[in-house]
Amino acid sequence: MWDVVVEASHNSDPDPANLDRYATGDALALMRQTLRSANDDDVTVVGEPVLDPEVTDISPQKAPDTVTILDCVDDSGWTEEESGAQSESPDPGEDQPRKVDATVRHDGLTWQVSQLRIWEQGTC
Amino acid sequence: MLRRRVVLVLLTVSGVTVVPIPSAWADGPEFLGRAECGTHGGPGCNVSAESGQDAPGSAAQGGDNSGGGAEPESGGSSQAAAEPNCEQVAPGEQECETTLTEEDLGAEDVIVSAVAVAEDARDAMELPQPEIATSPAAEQPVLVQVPVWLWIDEDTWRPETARAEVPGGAVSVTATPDQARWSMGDDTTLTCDGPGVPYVAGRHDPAAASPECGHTYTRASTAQPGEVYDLGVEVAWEVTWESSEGGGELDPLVTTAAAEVEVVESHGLVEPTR
Repeated sequence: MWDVVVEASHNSDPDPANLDRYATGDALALMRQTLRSANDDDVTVVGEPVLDPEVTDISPQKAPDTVTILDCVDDSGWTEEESGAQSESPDPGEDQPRKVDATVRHDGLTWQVSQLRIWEQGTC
Repeated sequence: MLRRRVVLVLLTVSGVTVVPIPSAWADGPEFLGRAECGTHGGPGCNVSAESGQDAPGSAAQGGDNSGGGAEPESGGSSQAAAEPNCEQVAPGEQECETTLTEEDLGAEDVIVSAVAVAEDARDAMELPQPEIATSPAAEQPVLVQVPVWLWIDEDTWRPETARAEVPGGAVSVTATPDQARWSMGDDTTLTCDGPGVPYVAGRHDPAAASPECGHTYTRASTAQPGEVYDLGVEVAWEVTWESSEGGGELDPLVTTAAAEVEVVESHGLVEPTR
């Protein structure tokens, strides 16, 4: 999912075609809203995040269909520059990794990110 | 002995409010800031799936505590928090209502949400005012050099519990009286680890000091304003909370009471006076 979102962010693509292969439900809506908002603001996005995912829960134990993931995402290198506006210098104190909670569900065919919560920087 | 029970009914804000976020975003250059829903909110808190699947409260989210309990869209309306509002429904029994805020519901995870509910319940609890009891009784003048027994009436010294219903469970908050801090009015303060022993005539020796909590005045109160000592007590309550998701301690609560004690010198006693 992140690969698709990162690429779409670089291309100012508000709704990448294959995003719904990797994300569903609220996670899909969140990623679409995020890309759309960047597109609306006409910003240029560069770089990419550094992920550090960790599985915290698998359920049910037999034939699992839900996996809970705790990620610590360093997105200090995944930044945007507002076109036409002078880019603000980043606050060094905020360049900390952020916690991301995700739930990945199996719908019988594929695993998709269904829930996603992205916390502020410095939360992990 | 009947125990008082505080029934706390917390109304939760249900439903999903989708608020389009204005695209004015100038807060830091990280792209992911647009998707953020942190402890203080963020654009990512106001997202709802168009598909309708994984709707808040659907069975699909059951058993998913770390990620699923904290859906941004479980926020509810952003109306201001209402003060807990308690109503006496029976002697010693209260029913309280409060409205959870978006912050309460959108907190870090279920455990933090439960803490927020527990704190609301703690704030809404109405603890009994300690009832001061002394022997000799404070209604009559007390003689200097006579041990005064101090205790809190047992009706006002016992745990109080409030229960709050939340989506997916309940949170109970219990306040337990722990210490009584007495100020005697003659610059003496004492801390008693308990309510103190009630003096029982015939069982206790009136000349003996209380084994747990007492004071002996050595000077008459005639020099005081009103010719009485201002007796005060602060009862410190330990507050804990419990839910199926966990539990812990909350900030202590304090209740207070005051009384006046007139202390006189016995003319029958040979007491050196200044």
